Amino acid sequence: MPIAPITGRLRKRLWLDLSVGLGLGVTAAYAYWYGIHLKSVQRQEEFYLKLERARAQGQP
Amino acid sequence: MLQNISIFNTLFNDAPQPWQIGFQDSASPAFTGIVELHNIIFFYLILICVGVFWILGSTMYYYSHNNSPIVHKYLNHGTLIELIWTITPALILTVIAFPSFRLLYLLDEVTSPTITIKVVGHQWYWSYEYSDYVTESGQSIEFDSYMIPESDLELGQFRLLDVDNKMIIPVDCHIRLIVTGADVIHSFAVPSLGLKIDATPGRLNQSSILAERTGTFYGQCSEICGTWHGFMPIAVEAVSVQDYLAWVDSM
Repeated sequence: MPIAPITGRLRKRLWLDLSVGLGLGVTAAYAYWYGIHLKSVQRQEEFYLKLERARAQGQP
Repeated sequence: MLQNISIFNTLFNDAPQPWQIGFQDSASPAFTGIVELHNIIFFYLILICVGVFWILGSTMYYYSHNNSPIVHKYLNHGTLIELIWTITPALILTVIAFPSFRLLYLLDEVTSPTITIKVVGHQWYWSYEYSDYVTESGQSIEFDSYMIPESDLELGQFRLLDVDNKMIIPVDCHIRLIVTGADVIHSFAVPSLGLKIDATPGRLNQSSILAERTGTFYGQCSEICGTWHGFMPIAVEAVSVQDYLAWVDSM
């Protein structure tokens, strides 16, 4: 029994794998960005804002 | 214990913590810039890692011996795919290089310093010279800074980090550091201030710091310099300008 030509194996899965891989990657990266990075930036800015207010009120 | 091993542990300290993963809180624009650059690159790192591991897993599963017993004879070489996986990382590295170099050159700037402090690394302690202030006898402020041995530690002091004489700096003032070594190469490093500079004998290295808040910031010698390399910590205390002037007066 002849074996059918094996063609298009890479092409068939490549787009799916690229889409899913990069899709999951972008989701995970944004989860880190909003969940960790921006929260730490906000925490730091709030601290310095509090410090500025205290300085403006004449506290050391 | 659980708090110590959790990677999501939020830290509020200017000294390293047991099992710490991540940075100490920033106290200077330099370190804020470094952390931001790290986080931006980390964003792309996560994206690339998840993408690569997905494709790796998928390839291992779908092209395993069980699922794909016959190997495609033309799959051994592919010029196009090789070009893609060579050029894409090169482009990504180029994109990362631009903000990295920008920050590097910004950190090199020494903006009209208010005071200059000379830092000298010795085997195995640091000494500081405040040459801007000279007494009537012509002497500047100079002192050595040794680690406090464990037996002399008081409550609240850090083991291997606290010193007998801290380097005192005023907040919100640009400070120039002239760093050198007296014997072998040391490295003056304080993470919270975004500072790491080699102390090389026969050479004066220059860096600048700006503390945005008061506090004590700890660091350690970061160049292997001999037997007691791990026992010559750095403690920098940022105080208000009034307190700083009072300290200068007392010296």
